[in-house]
Amino acid sequence: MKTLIAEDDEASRIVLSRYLSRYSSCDEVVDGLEAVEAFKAACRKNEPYNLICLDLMMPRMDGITALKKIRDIESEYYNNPEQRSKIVIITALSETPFMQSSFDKGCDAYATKPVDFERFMDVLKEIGCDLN
Amino acid sequence: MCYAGRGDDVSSKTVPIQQCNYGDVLAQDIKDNNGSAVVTKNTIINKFIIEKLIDLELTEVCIYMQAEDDNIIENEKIKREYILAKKSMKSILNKMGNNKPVDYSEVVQMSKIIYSYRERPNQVVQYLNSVKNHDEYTYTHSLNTAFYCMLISKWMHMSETETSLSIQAGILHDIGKIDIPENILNKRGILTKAEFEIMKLHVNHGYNRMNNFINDSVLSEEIRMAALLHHERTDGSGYPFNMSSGNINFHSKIVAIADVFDAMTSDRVYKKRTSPFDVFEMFRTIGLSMFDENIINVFIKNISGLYTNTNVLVEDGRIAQVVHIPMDNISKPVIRIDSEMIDLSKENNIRLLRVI
Repeated sequence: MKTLIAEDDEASRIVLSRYLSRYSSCDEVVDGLEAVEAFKAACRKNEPYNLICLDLMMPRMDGITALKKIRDIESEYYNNPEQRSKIVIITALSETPFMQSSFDKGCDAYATKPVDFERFMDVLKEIGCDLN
Repeated sequence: MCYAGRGDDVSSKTVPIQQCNYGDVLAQDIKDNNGSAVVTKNTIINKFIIEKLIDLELTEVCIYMQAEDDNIIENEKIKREYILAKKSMKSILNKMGNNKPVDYSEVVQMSKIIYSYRERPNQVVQYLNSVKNHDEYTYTHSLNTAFYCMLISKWMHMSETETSLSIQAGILHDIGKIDIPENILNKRGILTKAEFEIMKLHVNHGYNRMNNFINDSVLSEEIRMAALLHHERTDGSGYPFNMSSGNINFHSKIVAIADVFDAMTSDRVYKKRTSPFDVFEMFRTIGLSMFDENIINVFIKNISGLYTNTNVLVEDGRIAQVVHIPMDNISKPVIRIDSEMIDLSKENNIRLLRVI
């Protein structure tokens, strides 16, 4: 499995990356723009990410804008829904008020910090991530 | 010796002579047996006056309450009334849950209590900061939202009738959550799209639940609409209809802001509250297009100042006091930690976690 983590807060990024690296290789970026660039590069090499974790509030480009751009680029490269990356928006900002636009723009799950990893893993399986 | 600075509206209390302190101010004329005043109202009590009162064989005397007394008594009052309102909220939701009719006058009564704090925004915000217990979030969230609706209406210079509507809309906005399964409502921290679709239905349920009220002649369509539309966003990104700003009614726009502000600054089962400064930052950045610009500006401008002097927990565990909130950079206050003043607009490494 291949994962992209976009998170500007270093501590959160390291924790998430350490945890997920048991199941996946992890690339780390620090804002939405870098996330979009990393995604593009992966598509060009035809090695798309299986899972993308986007923080909501990041400098230069926020998580929801990045989410929309990633889904747009993805649709240019892949038609098969099974090849779609699973995308989780992660935020310190509780459930309101960005859930609707996140789901509208194509995220698969919406998580609130601090991330409860046990629940997080359950949901990743539920949305179809291969965690073996 | 006469103290002239006090008006008649200042409250007073009767205390035994022994409990008078030097500096207390008399709130009554003291007369001798012939009925002539020997010590007049507004006299500042000193050793000489106390001796005189004892000579007159008085046992107790009426004095003005000091500001701190006022605050303590008022804080007790808001606490008592808040707890009563919370009980009403519980009773309304329980009756609804059991499909029993609910008398709308209960809602009006709560609304009157909240309205009575219209001239005390400082006290309201201070008190709401202290009720962040997640155990009773269902009830406290609706009440707090109603209090913030009242404050917004006040700051928007709305009439008493319109303010009451707004308060009632706040009290009832989430009533449809009684129809959402508990396991989805209190899900710890992560929701899938399917679960969110179920969660979203609370706005439709809320709209329908308004039919459970009796004696509801003052239940206006504005309030029903606020239950249905408080998750609509002015940029069309909300639900249930993806409405644009022009179609969302005014009270729904007020409730939307009050709701989000309280939800984010309250503790939940799965997360600690966010600092109000981070919420201001959210409203001014990523949330900018989602809420009514005029209401948000009035709200932030007025509420931010009420956080001066509050204590906040810093990420490194230290406790800071908010000293100054610059209007042009509201999310970056000047704080004091011990005796050191720190301007957060110049210091990037310090993050405020939450008000304590």
